[in-house]
Amino acid sequence: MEQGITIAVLGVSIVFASLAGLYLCVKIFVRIIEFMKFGNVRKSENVTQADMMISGEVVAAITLALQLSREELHDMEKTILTMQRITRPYSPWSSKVYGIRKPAR
Amino acid sequence: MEGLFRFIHFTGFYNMTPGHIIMIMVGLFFIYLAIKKEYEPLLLIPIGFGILIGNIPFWENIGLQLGIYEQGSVMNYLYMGVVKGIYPPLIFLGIGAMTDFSALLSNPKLLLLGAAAQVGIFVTLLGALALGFNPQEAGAIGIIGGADGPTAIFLASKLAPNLIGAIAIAAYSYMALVPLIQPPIMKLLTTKKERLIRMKPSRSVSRTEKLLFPVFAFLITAFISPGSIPLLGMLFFGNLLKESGVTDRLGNTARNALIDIVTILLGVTVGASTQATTFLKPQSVLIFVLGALSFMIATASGVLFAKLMNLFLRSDNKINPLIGAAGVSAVPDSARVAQLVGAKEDSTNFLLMHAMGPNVAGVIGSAVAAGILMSILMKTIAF
Repeated sequence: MEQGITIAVLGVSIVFASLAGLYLCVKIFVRIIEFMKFGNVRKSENVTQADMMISGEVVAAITLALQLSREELHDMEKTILTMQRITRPYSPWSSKVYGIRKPAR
Repeated sequence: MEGLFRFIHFTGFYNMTPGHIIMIMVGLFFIYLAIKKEYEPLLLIPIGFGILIGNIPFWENIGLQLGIYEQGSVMNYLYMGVVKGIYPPLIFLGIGAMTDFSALLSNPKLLLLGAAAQVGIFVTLLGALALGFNPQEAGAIGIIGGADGPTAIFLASKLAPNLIGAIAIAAYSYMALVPLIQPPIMKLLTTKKERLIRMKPSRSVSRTEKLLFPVFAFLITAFISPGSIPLLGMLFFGNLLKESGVTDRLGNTARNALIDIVTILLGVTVGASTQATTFLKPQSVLIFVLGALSFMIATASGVLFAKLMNLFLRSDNKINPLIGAAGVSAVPDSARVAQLVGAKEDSTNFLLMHAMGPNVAGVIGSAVAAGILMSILMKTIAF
Protein backbone atom coordinates (compact mmCIF):
# COMPACT_ATOMS: atom_id res chain seq x y z
CA MET A 1 0.00 0.00 0.00
CA GLU A 2 2.88 2.35 0.79
CA GLN A 3 4.23 1.81 -2.68
CA GLY A 4 0.72 2.47 -3.99
CA ILE A 5 0.79 5.87 -2.32
CA THR A 6 4.22 6.48 -3.85
CA ILE A 7 2.85 5.64 -7.31
CA ALA A 8 -0.13 7.95 -6.77
CA VAL A 9 2.02 10.88 -5.64
CA LEU A 10 4.54 10.26 -8.40
CA GLY A 11 1.80 9.89 -11.02
CA VAL A 12 0.00 13.10 -10.05
CA SER A 13 3.32 14.97 -9.96
CA ILE A 14 4.36 13.76 -13.41
CA VAL A 15 0.96 14.60 -14.95
CA PHE A 16 1.19 18.09 -13.46
CA ALA A 17 4.81 18.45 -14.53
CA SER A 18 4.11 17.49 -18.13
CA LEU A 19 1.08 19.75 -18.50
CA ALA A 20 2.83 22.58 -16.65
CA GLY A 21 5.78 22.11 -19.03
CA LEU A 22 3.40 22.30 -21.94
CA TYR A 23 1.87 25.46 -20.46
CA LEU A 24 5.27 27.12 -20.18
CA CYS A 25 6.20 26.12 -23.73
CA VAL A 26 2.95 27.53 -25.12
CA LYS A 27 3.53 30.76 -23.18
CA ILE A 28 7.07 31.07 -24.52
CA PHE A 29 6.02 30.27 -28.08
CA VAL A 30 3.21 32.82 -27.95
CA ARG A 31 5.67 35.45 -26.72
CA ILE A 32 8.13 34.61 -29.51
CA ILE A 33 5.42 34.65 -32.18
CA GLU A 34 4.01 37.94 -30.89
CA PHE A 35 7.48 39.44 -30.83
CA MET A 36 8.16 38.29 -34.40
CA LYS A 37 4.83 39.69 -35.55
CA PHE A 38 4.46 42.88 -33.60
CA GLY A 39 7.86 43.48 -32.05
CA ASN A 40 8.94 46.18 -34.46
CA VAL A 41 5.54 47.88 -34.43
CA ARG A 42 5.56 48.08 -30.67
CA LYS A 43 9.07 49.46 -30.54
CA SER A 44 8.37 52.19 -33.03
CA GLU A 45 4.92 53.19 -31.83
CA ASN A 46 5.11 52.16 -28.18
CA VAL A 47 2.01 49.96 -28.48
CA THR A 48 0.99 47.77 -25.52
CA GLN A 49 -0.35 44.22 -25.78
CA ALA A 50 -3.81 45.43 -24.79
CA ASP A 51 -3.77 47.74 -27.82
CA MET A 52 -2.96 44.84 -30.14
CA MET A 53 -5.87 42.70 -28.88
CA ILE A 54 -9.34 42.96 -30.35
CA SER A 55 -12.07 42.39 -27.81
CA GLY A 56 -14.72 39.74 -28.28
CA GLU A 57 -17.43 42.39 -28.65
CA VAL A 58 -15.56 44.06 -31.51
CA VAL A 59 -15.06 40.71 -33.24
CA ALA A 60 -18.78 39.94 -32.83
CA ALA A 61 -19.72 43.37 -34.24
CA ILE A 62 -17.45 42.91 -37.27
CA THR A 63 -18.82 39.43 -37.88
CA LEU A 64 -22.40 40.68 -37.69
CA ALA A 65 -21.64 43.57 -40.05
CA LEU A 66 -20.03 41.23 -42.57
CA GLN A 67 -22.96 38.82 -42.33
CA LEU A 68 -25.48 41.62 -42.88
CA SER A 69 -23.42 43.00 -45.73
CA ARG A 70 -23.32 39.63 -47.45
CA GLU A 71 -27.05 39.19 -47.05
CA GLU A 72 -27.58 42.60 -48.66
CA LEU A 73 -25.76 41.58 -51.81
CA HIS A 74 -28.79 39.88 -53.34
CA ASP A 75 -28.39 41.68 -56.66
CA MET A 76 -25.05 40.03 -57.15
CA GLU A 77 -26.35 36.57 -56.47
CA LYS A 78 -26.85 35.58 -60.10
CA THR A 79 -25.28 37.10 -63.12
CA ILE A 80 -26.77 34.61 -65.55
CA LEU A 81 -30.10 35.51 -67.11
CA THR A 82 -32.59 32.77 -66.88
CA MET A 83 -34.58 32.68 -70.10
CA GLN A 84 -36.75 29.65 -70.12
CA ARG A 85 -37.69 28.07 -73.39
CA ILE A 86 -41.41 27.63 -73.58
CA THR A 87 -42.82 25.20 -76.08
CA ARG A 88 -45.91 26.69 -77.57
CA PRO A 89 -47.38 24.84 -80.53
CA TYR A 90 -49.16 27.79 -82.04
CA SER A 91 -48.82 31.55 -82.07
CA PRO A 92 -50.44 33.89 -84.59
CA TRP A 93 -47.33 36.09 -84.52
CA SER A 94 -45.22 33.52 -86.23
CA SER A 95 -47.94 31.76 -88.15
CA LYS A 96 -47.11 30.84 -91.70
CA VAL A 97 -50.82 30.71 -92.40
CA TYR A 98 -51.12 34.46 -91.90
CA GLY A 99 -47.67 35.25 -93.25
CA ILE A 100 -47.58 33.40 -96.58
CA ARG A 101 -50.85 31.83 -97.64
CA LYS A 102 -52.99 34.87 -96.89
CA PRO A 103 -51.03 37.92 -97.94
CA ALA A 104 -52.41 41.27 -96.83
CA ARG A 105 -54.52 42.99 -99.42
CA MET B 1 -34.30 -38.14 -33.81
CA GLU B 2 -30.73 -37.74 -32.56
CA GLY B 3 -30.34 -34.78 -34.91
CA LEU B 4 -33.38 -33.12 -33.36
CA PHE B 5 -31.97 -33.57 -29.87
CA ARG B 6 -28.64 -32.13 -30.99
CA PHE B 7 -30.48 -29.15 -32.46
CA ILE B 8 -32.42 -28.61 -29.23
CA HIS B 9 -29.18 -28.80 -27.24
CA PHE B 10 -27.75 -26.17 -29.52
CA THR B 11 -30.55 -23.61 -29.18
CA GLY B 12 -30.23 -20.52 -27.03
CA PHE B 13 -33.29 -21.52 -25.02
CA TYR B 14 -31.62 -24.75 -23.87
CA ASN B 15 -28.33 -23.07 -22.90
CA MET B 16 -29.88 -20.02 -21.29
CA THR B 17 -28.90 -19.02 -17.73
CA PRO B 18 -30.23 -16.20 -15.52
CA GLY B 19 -26.93 -14.38 -16.20
CA HIS B 20 -27.64 -14.28 -19.93
CA ILE B 21 -31.09 -12.82 -19.31
CA ILE B 22 -29.65 -10.14 -16.99
CA MET B 23 -27.05 -9.15 -19.57
CA ILE B 24 -29.62 -9.05 -22.38
CA MET B 25 -31.71 -6.74 -20.19
CA VAL B 26 -28.64 -4.54 -19.67
CA GLY B 27 -28.07 -4.43 -23.44
CA LEU B 28 -31.70 -3.48 -24.05
CA PHE B 29 -31.43 -0.81 -21.35
CA PHE B 30 -28.38 0.70 -23.08
CA ILE B 31 -30.23 0.79 -26.40
CA TYR B 32 -33.19 2.41 -24.64
CA LEU B 33 -30.95 5.06 -23.05
CA ALA B 34 -29.33 5.77 -26.42
CA ILE B 35 -32.56 6.13 -28.39
CA LYS B 36 -35.01 7.51 -25.85
CA LYS B 37 -32.70 9.65 -23.69
CA GLU B 38 -30.06 10.25 -26.37
CA TYR B 39 -27.21 9.49 -23.91
CA GLU B 40 -24.12 9.01 -26.09
CA PRO B 41 -26.06 7.11 -28.78
CA LEU B 42 -23.00 6.65 -31.00
CA LEU B 43 -21.47 4.54 -28.25
CA LEU B 44 -24.39 3.04 -26.42
CA ILE B 45 -26.11 1.61 -29.51
CA PRO B 46 -23.04 -0.38 -30.65
CA ILE B 47 -22.23 -1.42 -27.08
CA GLY B 48 -25.86 -2.28 -26.28
CA PHE B 49 -26.25 -4.39 -29.40
CA GLY B 50 -22.82 -5.91 -28.79
CA ILE B 51 -24.07 -7.03 -25.36
CA LEU B 52 -27.00 -8.77 -27.10
CA ILE B 53 -24.61 -10.44 -29.55
CA GLY B 54 -22.29 -11.58 -26.78
CA ASN B 55 -25.05 -12.96 -24.59
CA ILE B 56 -26.98 -15.21 -26.91
CA PRO B 57 -26.41 -18.54 -25.18
CA PHE B 58 -25.04 -21.39 -27.27
CA TRP B 59 -23.25 -24.67 -26.86
CA GLU B 60 -19.74 -23.47 -26.20
CA ASN B 61 -16.40 -25.11 -26.97
CA ILE B 62 -17.57 -27.70 -29.47
CA GLY B 63 -15.50 -26.24 -32.26
CA LEU B 64 -18.16 -24.05 -33.88
CA GLN B 65 -16.05 -20.92 -33.32
CA LEU B 66 -18.94 -18.60 -32.50
CA GLY B 67 -18.14 -16.88 -29.21
CA ILE B 68 -15.95 -13.84 -28.85
CA TYR B 69 -13.58 -15.77 -26.60
CA GLU B 70 -13.35 -18.78 -28.96
CA GLN B 71 -10.15 -18.84 -30.98
CA GLY B 72 -10.78 -18.37 -34.69
CA SER B 73 -14.29 -16.91 -34.51
CA VAL B 74 -15.07 -13.75 -36.46
CA MET B 75 -15.89 -11.89 -33.26
CA ASN B 76 -12.62 -13.08 -31.77
CA TYR B 77 -10.68 -11.61 -34.69
CA LEU B 78 -12.50 -8.29 -34.34
CA TYR B 79 -11.92 -8.38 -30.57
CA MET B 80 -8.17 -8.56 -31.21
CA GLY B 81 -8.34 -4.84 -32.00
CA VAL B 82 -9.39 -4.28 -28.38
CA VAL B 83 -7.12 -6.86 -26.75
CA LYS B 84 -4.03 -5.71 -28.65
CA GLY B 85 -4.86 -2.05 -28.11
CA ILE B 86 -5.26 -1.26 -31.83
CA TYR B 87 -8.61 0.55 -31.81
CA PRO B 88 -7.93 3.20 -29.13
CA PRO B 89 -5.02 4.91 -30.96
CA LEU B 90 -7.10 4.93 -34.17
CA ILE B 91 -9.94 6.61 -32.27
CA PHE B 92 -7.42 9.14 -30.97
CA LEU B 93 -6.35 9.84 -34.54
CA GLY B 94 -9.93 10.77 -35.37
CA ILE B 95 -10.32 12.80 -32.17
CA GLY B 96 -7.14 14.71 -33.01
CA ALA B 97 -8.42 15.43 -36.52
CA MET B 98 -11.61 16.93 -35.12
CA THR B 99 -10.17 18.79 -32.12
CA ASP B 100 -9.56 22.50 -32.20
CA PHE B 101 -6.96 23.45 -29.61
CA SER B 102 -7.64 27.18 -30.03
CA ALA B 103 -9.50 27.46 -26.73
CA LEU B 104 -6.55 25.93 -24.94
CA LEU B 105 -3.93 27.96 -26.80
CA SER B 106 -5.73 31.22 -26.15
CA ASN B 107 -5.64 30.56 -22.40
CA PRO B 108 -2.91 27.97 -21.77
CA LYS B 109 -3.18 28.05 -17.97
CA LEU B 110 -6.31 25.94 -18.43
CA LEU B 111 -3.94 23.04 -19.12
CA LEU B 112 -3.47 22.81 -15.36
CA LEU B 113 -7.18 22.08 -14.88
CA GLY B 114 -6.76 19.11 -17.21
CA ALA B 115 -3.98 17.89 -14.94
CA ALA B 116 -5.94 18.47 -11.72
CA ALA B 117 -8.85 16.34 -12.86
CA GLN B 118 -6.53 13.34 -13.19
CA VAL B 119 -6.20 13.17 -9.40
CA GLY B 120 -9.28 10.94 -9.45
CA ILE B 121 -7.34 8.27 -11.33
CA PHE B 122 -4.67 7.95 -8.67
CA VAL B 123 -7.02 8.18 -5.69
CA THR B 124 -9.09 5.36 -7.19
CA LEU B 125 -5.93 3.34 -7.71
CA LEU B 126 -5.42 3.50 -3.95
CA GLY B 127 -9.06 2.55 -3.34
CA ALA B 128 -8.77 -0.45 -5.65
CA LEU B 129 -5.58 -1.58 -3.92
CA ALA B 130 -7.33 -1.30 -0.56
CA LEU B 131 -10.16 -3.49 -1.88
CA GLY B 132 -7.72 -6.24 -2.81
CA PHE B 133 -7.15 -5.73 -6.53
CA ASN B 134 -3.60 -6.30 -7.67
CA PRO B 135 -1.58 -3.20 -8.71
CA GLN B 136 -2.11 -3.75 -12.46
CA GLU B 137 -5.87 -4.18 -12.03
CA ALA B 138 -5.99 -1.16 -9.70
CA GLY B 139 -4.25 1.00 -12.31
CA ALA B 140 -6.63 -0.14 -15.02
CA ILE B 141 -9.66 0.55 -12.82
CA GLY B 142 -8.33 3.97 -11.76
CA ILE B 143 -8.13 5.17 -15.36
CA ILE B 144 -11.95 5.12 -15.53
CA GLY B 145 -11.68 8.48 -13.74
CA GLY B 146 -9.93 9.83 -16.83
CA ALA B 147 -13.40 9.65 -18.45
CA ASP B 148 -11.81 8.64 -21.69
CA GLY B 149 -13.12 5.36 -23.11
CA PRO B 150 -10.28 4.65 -25.58
CA THR B 151 -7.63 5.42 -22.94
CA ALA B 152 -9.36 3.14 -20.43
CA ILE B 153 -9.53 0.30 -22.95
CA PHE B 154 -5.93 0.85 -24.02
CA LEU B 155 -4.59 0.71 -20.48
CA ALA B 156 -6.83 -2.19 -19.47
CA SER B 157 -5.64 -4.17 -22.50
CA LYS B 158 -2.06 -3.72 -21.32
CA LEU B 159 -2.47 -4.09 -17.55
CA ALA B 160 -5.57 -6.20 -16.92
CA PRO B 161 -6.97 -7.82 -20.08
CA ASN B 162 -9.31 -9.92 -17.92
CA LEU B 163 -11.15 -6.75 -16.84
CA ILE B 164 -11.45 -5.01 -20.22
CA GLY B 165 -15.20 -5.67 -20.56
CA ALA B 166 -16.13 -4.32 -17.13
CA ILE B 167 -13.76 -1.34 -17.35
CA ALA B 168 -14.90 -0.36 -20.84
CA ILE B 169 -18.58 -0.64 -19.95
CA ALA B 170 -18.04 1.35 -16.75
CA ALA B 171 -16.02 4.06 -18.53
CA TYR B 172 -18.51 4.51 -21.36
CA SER B 173 -21.52 4.32 -19.03
CA TYR B 174 -20.17 7.07 -16.82
CA MET B 175 -19.21 9.14 -19.86
CA ALA B 176 -22.81 8.85 -21.01
CA LEU B 177 -24.00 9.83 -17.55
CA VAL B 178 -21.83 12.98 -17.32
CA PRO B 179 -24.94 15.24 -17.40
CA LEU B 180 -26.28 13.42 -14.33
CA ILE B 181 -23.10 12.85 -12.31
CA GLN B 182 -21.31 16.18 -12.61
CA PRO B 183 -23.86 18.99 -11.92
CA PRO B 184 -24.58 18.11 -8.25
CA ILE B 185 -20.84 17.99 -7.46
CA MET B 186 -20.23 21.25 -9.32
CA LYS B 187 -23.01 23.01 -7.47
CA LEU B 188 -21.97 21.58 -4.13
CA LEU B 189 -18.40 22.85 -4.42
CA THR B 190 -19.09 26.33 -5.78
CA THR B 191 -20.93 29.39 -4.53
CA LYS B 192 -23.48 31.27 -6.63
CA LYS B 193 -21.01 34.15 -6.93
CA GLU B 194 -18.36 31.83 -8.33
CA ARG B 195 -20.77 30.32 -10.83
CA LEU B 196 -21.52 33.82 -12.09
CA ILE B 197 -17.89 34.67 -12.87
CA ARG B 198 -17.51 35.94 -16.43
CA MET B 199 -14.25 35.02 -18.05
CA LYS B 200 -12.25 37.26 -20.36
CA PRO B 201 -12.99 36.71 -24.04
CA SER B 202 -10.49 34.40 -25.71
CA ARG B 203 -7.77 35.97 -27.82
CA SER B 204 -7.53 34.96 -31.46
CA VAL B 205 -4.97 32.22 -32.10
CA SER B 206 -2.67 32.43 -35.10
CA ARG B 207 -2.22 29.61 -37.61
CA THR B 208 1.45 29.33 -36.67
CA GLU B 209 0.49 28.54 -33.07
CA LYS B 210 -2.00 25.93 -34.20
CA LEU B 211 0.61 24.34 -36.45
CA LEU B 212 3.37 24.29 -33.87
CA PHE B 213 1.24 23.04 -30.96
CA PRO B 214 0.69 19.41 -32.06
CA VAL B 215 4.35 18.95 -32.90
CA PHE B 216 5.82 20.42 -29.75
CA ALA B 217 3.08 19.16 -27.44
CA PHE B 218 3.76 15.64 -28.66
CA LEU B 219 7.50 15.96 -28.23
CA ILE B 220 7.19 17.32 -24.68
CA THR B 221 4.56 14.89 -23.40
CA ALA B 222 6.03 11.84 -25.13
CA PHE B 223 9.52 12.54 -23.80
CA ILE B 224 8.12 12.78 -20.26
CA SER B 225 5.78 9.81 -20.56
CA PRO B 226 6.78 7.49 -23.44
CA GLY B 227 4.03 5.06 -22.43
CA SER B 228 1.52 7.47 -23.94
CA ILE B 229 3.16 7.49 -27.39
CA PRO B 230 0.47 5.37 -29.14
CA LEU B 231 -2.34 7.59 -27.87
CA LEU B 232 -0.75 11.03 -27.92
CA GLY B 233 1.18 10.29 -31.11
CA MET B 234 -2.04 9.56 -32.97
CA LEU B 235 -3.92 12.43 -31.27
CA PHE B 236 -1.39 15.06 -32.28
CA PHE B 237 -0.78 13.47 -35.68
CA GLY B 238 -4.52 13.72 -36.37
CA ASN B 239 -4.48 17.34 -35.24
CA LEU B 240 -1.60 18.15 -37.55
CA LEU B 241 -3.55 16.62 -40.44
CA LYS B 242 -6.34 19.05 -39.60
CA GLU B 243 -4.26 22.15 -39.03
CA SER B 244 -1.63 21.74 -41.74
CA GLY B 245 -4.13 22.82 -44.39
CA VAL B 246 -2.49 20.60 -47.00
CA THR B 247 -3.88 17.22 -45.93
CA ASP B 248 -7.59 17.89 -45.98
CA ARG B 249 -8.40 14.53 -47.52
CA LEU B 250 -6.52 12.61 -44.83
CA GLY B 251 -7.97 14.78 -42.07
CA ASN B 252 -11.48 14.28 -43.40
CA THR B 253 -11.05 10.52 -43.55
CA ALA B 254 -9.62 10.40 -40.02
CA ARG B 255 -12.41 12.46 -38.45
CA ASN B 256 -15.28 10.89 -40.41
CA ALA B 257 -14.97 7.47 -42.04
CA LEU B 258 -12.11 6.05 -40.01
CA ILE B 259 -13.35 7.04 -36.56
CA ASP B 260 -16.85 5.85 -37.44
CA ILE B 261 -15.62 2.43 -38.55
CA VAL B 262 -13.42 2.00 -35.50
CA THR B 263 -16.19 3.21 -33.16
CA ILE B 264 -18.54 0.60 -34.59
CA LEU B 265 -16.00 -2.21 -34.22
CA LEU B 266 -14.89 -1.07 -30.76
CA GLY B 267 -18.44 -0.63 -29.47
CA VAL B 268 -19.74 -3.95 -30.74
CA THR B 269 -16.76 -5.99 -29.60
CA VAL B 270 -16.57 -4.36 -26.18
CA GLY B 271 -20.29 -5.02 -25.77
CA ALA B 272 -19.92 -8.61 -26.94
CA SER B 273 -17.04 -9.16 -24.53
CA THR B 274 -19.48 -8.90 -21.62
CA GLN B 275 -20.54 -12.55 -21.86
CA ALA B 276 -22.48 -13.38 -18.73
CA THR B 277 -20.12 -16.25 -17.91
CA THR B 278 -17.10 -13.94 -17.72
CA PHE B 279 -18.71 -10.59 -16.86
CA LEU B 280 -21.18 -11.25 -14.06
CA LYS B 281 -18.85 -11.46 -11.09
CA PRO B 282 -18.68 -9.52 -7.81
CA GLN B 283 -15.48 -7.99 -9.21
CA SER B 284 -17.48 -6.21 -11.93
CA VAL B 285 -19.76 -4.59 -9.35
CA LEU B 286 -16.71 -3.33 -7.44
CA ILE B 287 -15.28 -1.91 -10.68
CA PHE B 288 -18.51 -0.02 -11.29
CA VAL B 289 -18.50 1.41 -7.76
CA LEU B 290 -14.82 2.41 -7.99
CA GLY B 291 -15.39 3.88 -11.45
CA ALA B 292 -18.20 6.10 -10.18
CA LEU B 293 -16.01 7.18 -7.27
CA SER B 294 -13.14 7.93 -9.61
CA PHE B 295 -15.37 10.06 -11.82
CA MET B 296 -16.70 12.05 -8.87
CA ILE B 297 -13.24 12.68 -7.41
CA ALA B 298 -11.97 13.78 -10.83
CA THR B 299 -14.84 16.26 -11.19
CA ALA B 300 -14.35 17.59 -7.66
CA SER B 301 -10.59 17.97 -8.02
CA GLY B 302 -11.00 19.92 -11.27
CA VAL B 303 -13.47 22.33 -9.67
CA LEU B 304 -11.42 22.74 -6.49
CA PHE B 305 -8.21 23.36 -8.43
CA ALA B 306 -9.92 26.10 -10.43
CA LYS B 307 -10.88 27.71 -7.12
CA LEU B 308 -7.30 27.39 -5.95
CA MET B 309 -6.02 29.03 -9.13
CA ASN B 310 -8.42 31.93 -8.58
CA LEU B 311 -6.60 32.75 -5.35
CA PHE B 312 -3.55 33.68 -7.40
CA LEU B 313 -5.24 35.37 -10.34
CA ARG B 314 -6.10 39.05 -10.80
CA SER B 315 -9.74 39.97 -10.18
CA ASP B 316 -10.31 40.74 -13.88
CA ASN B 317 -8.80 37.43 -14.96
CA LYS B 318 -10.62 34.92 -12.74
CA ILE B 319 -11.64 31.46 -13.88
CA ASN B 320 -15.21 30.27 -13.48
CA PRO B 321 -14.65 27.12 -11.37
CA LEU B 322 -17.41 25.29 -13.25
CA ILE B 323 -15.05 24.79 -16.18
CA GLY B 324 -12.70 22.84 -13.87
CA ALA B 325 -15.15 19.94 -14.11
CA ALA B 326 -14.51 19.79 -17.85
CA GLY B 327 -10.96 18.68 -17.08
CA VAL B 328 -12.19 15.11 -16.79
CA SER B 329 -12.03 14.76 -20.56
CA ALA B 330 -15.32 13.22 -21.86
CA VAL B 331 -15.16 15.55 -24.85
CA PRO B 332 -17.37 17.51 -25.39
CA ASP B 333 -20.02 16.44 -22.89
CA SER B 334 -18.36 17.75 -19.75
CA ALA B 335 -17.72 21.13 -21.44
CA ARG B 336 -21.39 21.21 -22.39
CA VAL B 337 -22.34 20.45 -18.78
CA ALA B 338 -20.19 23.39 -17.58
CA GLN B 339 -21.99 25.63 -20.07
CA LEU B 340 -25.43 24.38 -18.98
CA VAL B 341 -24.79 24.74 -15.25
CA GLY B 342 -23.33 28.21 -15.82
CA ALA B 343 -26.25 29.22 -18.04
CA LYS B 344 -28.72 28.25 -15.30
CA GLU B 345 -27.25 31.01 -13.13
CA ASP B 346 -26.78 33.53 -15.94
CA SER B 347 -28.10 32.74 -19.40
CA THR B 348 -25.82 35.36 -20.99
CA ASN B 349 -22.62 33.85 -19.60
CA PHE B 350 -21.14 31.60 -22.29
CA LEU B 351 -18.66 29.18 -20.78
CA LEU B 352 -18.57 26.58 -23.55
CA MET B 353 -15.49 27.86 -25.38
CA HIS B 354 -13.62 28.39 -22.11
CA ALA B 355 -14.58 24.89 -20.94
CA MET B 356 -13.24 23.34 -24.13
CA GLY B 357 -9.73 24.33 -22.95
CA PRO B 358 -9.62 22.07 -19.87
CA ASN B 359 -11.68 19.53 -21.77
CA VAL B 360 -9.01 18.89 -24.42
CA ALA B 361 -6.31 19.29 -21.76
CA GLY B 362 -8.07 16.44 -19.94
CA VAL B 363 -7.64 14.22 -23.00
CA ILE B 364 -3.90 14.93 -22.98
CA GLY B 365 -3.73 14.55 -19.19
CA SER B 366 -5.52 11.19 -19.09
CA ALA B 367 -3.29 9.83 -21.88
CA VAL B 368 -0.19 10.98 -19.98
CA ALA B 369 -1.57 9.36 -16.80
CA ALA B 370 -2.19 6.12 -18.71
CA GLY B 371 1.38 6.21 -20.00
CA ILE B 372 2.73 6.74 -16.48
CA LEU B 373 0.66 3.89 -15.03
CA MET B 374 1.74 1.62 -17.87
CA SER B 375 5.40 2.38 -17.45
CA ILE B 376 5.28 1.89 -13.68
CA LEU B 377 2.92 -1.05 -13.42
CA MET B 378 3.95 -3.14 -16.42
CA LYS B 379 7.03 -4.09 -14.43
CA THR B 380 6.58 -6.50 -11.57
CA ILE B 381 6.32 -4.53 -8.37
CA ALA B 382 5.93 -6.18 -5.01
CA PHE B 383 3.35 -4.42 -2.87
